[in-house]
Amino acid sequence: MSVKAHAEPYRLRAGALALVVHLAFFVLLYFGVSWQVEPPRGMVVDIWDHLPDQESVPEKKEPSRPVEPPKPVKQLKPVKPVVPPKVEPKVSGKKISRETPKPIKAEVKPQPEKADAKAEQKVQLERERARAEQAELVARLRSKLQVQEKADPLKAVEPKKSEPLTKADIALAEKKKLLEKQMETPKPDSRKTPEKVSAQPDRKAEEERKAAAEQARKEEEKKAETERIKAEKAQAEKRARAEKLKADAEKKAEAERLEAEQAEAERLLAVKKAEAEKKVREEKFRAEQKIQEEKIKAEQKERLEKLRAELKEREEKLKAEQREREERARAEQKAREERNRAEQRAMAEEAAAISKIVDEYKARIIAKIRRNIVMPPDIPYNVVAEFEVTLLPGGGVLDEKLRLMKPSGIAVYDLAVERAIKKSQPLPLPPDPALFNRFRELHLKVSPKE
Amino acid sequence: MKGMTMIRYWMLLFLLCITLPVRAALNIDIYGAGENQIPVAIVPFDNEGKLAQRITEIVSADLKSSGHFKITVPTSKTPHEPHEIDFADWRGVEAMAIGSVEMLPDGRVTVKFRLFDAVKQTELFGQAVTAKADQVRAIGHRIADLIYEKLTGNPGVFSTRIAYVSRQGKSNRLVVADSDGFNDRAVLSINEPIMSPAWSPDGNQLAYVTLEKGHAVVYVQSLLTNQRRVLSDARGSNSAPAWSPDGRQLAIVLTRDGSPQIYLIRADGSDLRRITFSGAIDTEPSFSPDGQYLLFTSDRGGSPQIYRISVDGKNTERLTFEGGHNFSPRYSPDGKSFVFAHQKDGRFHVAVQDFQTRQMQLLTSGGWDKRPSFSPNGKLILFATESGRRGILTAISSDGRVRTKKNLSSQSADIREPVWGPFLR
Repeated sequence: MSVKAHAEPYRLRAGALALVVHLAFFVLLYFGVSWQVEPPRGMVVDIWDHLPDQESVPEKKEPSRPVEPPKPVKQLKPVKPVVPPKVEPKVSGKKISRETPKPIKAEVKPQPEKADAKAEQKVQLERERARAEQAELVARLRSKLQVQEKADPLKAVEPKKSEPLTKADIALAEKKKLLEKQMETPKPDSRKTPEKVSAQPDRKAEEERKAAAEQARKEEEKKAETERIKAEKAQAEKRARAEKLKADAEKKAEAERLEAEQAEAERLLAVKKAEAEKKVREEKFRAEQKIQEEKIKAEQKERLEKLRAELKEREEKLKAEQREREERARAEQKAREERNRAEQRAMAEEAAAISKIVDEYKARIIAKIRRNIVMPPDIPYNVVAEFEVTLLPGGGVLDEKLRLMKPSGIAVYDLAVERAIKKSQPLPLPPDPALFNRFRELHLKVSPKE
Repeated sequence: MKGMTMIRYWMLLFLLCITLPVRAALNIDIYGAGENQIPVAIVPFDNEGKLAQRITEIVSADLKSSGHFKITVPTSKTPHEPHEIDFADWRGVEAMAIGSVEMLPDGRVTVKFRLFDAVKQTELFGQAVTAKADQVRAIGHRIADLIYEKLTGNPGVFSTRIAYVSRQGKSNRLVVADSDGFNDRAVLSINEPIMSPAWSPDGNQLAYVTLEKGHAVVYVQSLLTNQRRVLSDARGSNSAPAWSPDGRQLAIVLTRDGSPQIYLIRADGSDLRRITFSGAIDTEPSFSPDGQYLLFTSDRGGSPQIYRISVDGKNTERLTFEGGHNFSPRYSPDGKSFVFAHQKDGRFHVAVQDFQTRQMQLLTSGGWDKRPSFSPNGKLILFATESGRRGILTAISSDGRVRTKKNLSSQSADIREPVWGPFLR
């Protein structure tokens, strides 16, 4: 019971210790495993920390997009897939982060071209549209003539919204026009286009003016008839002059108005052009940005890869170094051990040699003393006489140091042994004076028989 | 690199040098010995040529006979006084004895004697003995005993005596001699057989058996007065007397109740008590040194074997089992073993057996070796053997290594039944 009582605390402590050790091991294991995984993640985090600065532009822009006039959904789509990757790597591991860039790459490459083509197409489209609108406007103007209002063009812009939907159809039609146009003016310049756009309206305006003049004449005729009726009543000249003045004024006013309208149209066109340009620019910018983003991402990826590679390299280098160090240490240790062993062996050999010499001279001393023992008669075999002897370097026995430590009980035997010791002078000693010290003090145990 | 190893080498040596003095002494274990014979130089004593016999010759012979000494008698250098000794001349000996003889005006001689440890170059002892001129041998034995005791740790037995029976023609003599066989003299000379001499513990009396009366009778004779008396003259055979260690009683063998049985009797012949009660032959008793037991020979088991019985006669134990016959047991002076005659395949050996291990050890290669007995220090065994169909005396060391034939003045006599006497008190 007492044992158990003593054992339990130890067991508890041992258990706790085991638990702690296990925990420590687990922690070590966890960190050991996660350490290998973490560096990429750490790098991702670091890189993404920089990214927001660069991405803050598109990100901030994006929310503004919905405010802008709705843009082709298709155009937004390619951008969107780019956005999720930055979230995904954080959530998931390497695999996703590695996989996701690929689709981006695939999409990114064709898109710049597509975007360019589309942008160009769009610019052209927009131009065509503007032209069509202008034509329509002219037609409408012609049809409505004076009734037209300034707000109309604004309203006319609205149909644009629906246009992208029928873009394909338009695109086809437009393409034909584009081809025709390209025949006339290959690669329309952004600068030239406004001229042409402005030239076309001039012709049209003349026609319109003519038409308007005719109309005006007709009206004038009508008015003249009526006026004549009136003039007939009033002075014909005054009336005519007045009418002429009036007509002039009217003409002037009309022209002014037309001019204003044209200016307005031009302005609208310019606005539209600017808008288109802006849009193109935006598209371009977006594409560029996208490219840049891709580039940045690629760069980042590259950098990441590079860093990862570097890290790996560094790790490997470190490992190699450590391995090398360990190997060197091992080799050194081995060499040291070898050396130690050799030294020990040498020392052991020395000791063995010394002990061999000692044994040899011990045997010689024994032989000499035994030879000199004259055994008195009838000494019991089992008696033992013990002497202590102090030797002089020459092998002589120091008389006063020849002591009978333990008498055998038989005096004549003790005497015989003592005489034998004395007779054995000089006792044989090793020639190496260094070993004499081992023989300086002898403890002799002498017995008639073993 | 090389410099480093050199530095290490020197550091090692340096450390060795530093630590070694602090270290325990180099332990060396030595077993055995080079020789068993102690080299001793007996320098002829000054003036000993004037004596009837050179003392140093007696000493040398004694020490040699023990088998434990290697005696050198130098002729070139003969120091007689301590200051004359140059120990450098005495390398190779453990001890050396010097001395001088002085003839006193009254005919007595004074022998001065010193023993030196030639290795330690110290005097072990010195003594001056004055004795009558005809006791030169005794003086020599005494010096030999002292040397023996100093160098072996055991008392010498050179001064002790032996007794034996010598038969020449019809003449039978009971002889007492020095341990070396010299200086023998007959204490009894009769025409009838003499048997079983036994020394009293004080060495002043001998008990023996003769057939003077037609049957075996036990006598006790004083060596001082040469007076003898009958100890036991019971009907039948009275034989094999053995003295108790205190000398107050003897064990004898009587056939008065039939077969030979062992009895105890006071030294004055009174108080006879029977110890053994077997129908077989129980004979040749020997007292243990403590007087509590008797060894004896009995054929109660079918063949002569050695038994032990307590003096109260209660506990009897057979001790020998090997061989055909084992007989004539005698206790060793320390009581730890006994010596006896062992007969196997018609040959007689001297054997010893340890009480503790019960192991029998044959000391002689066999022949007519009978009647062994220990010297009083237990180191030698005297026994009778035959040489040229004639009995002689031989001594052997108790370990069987050294065997010496005793010098006997009577070269033609047939010597039997020797027994080693006790230390002189």
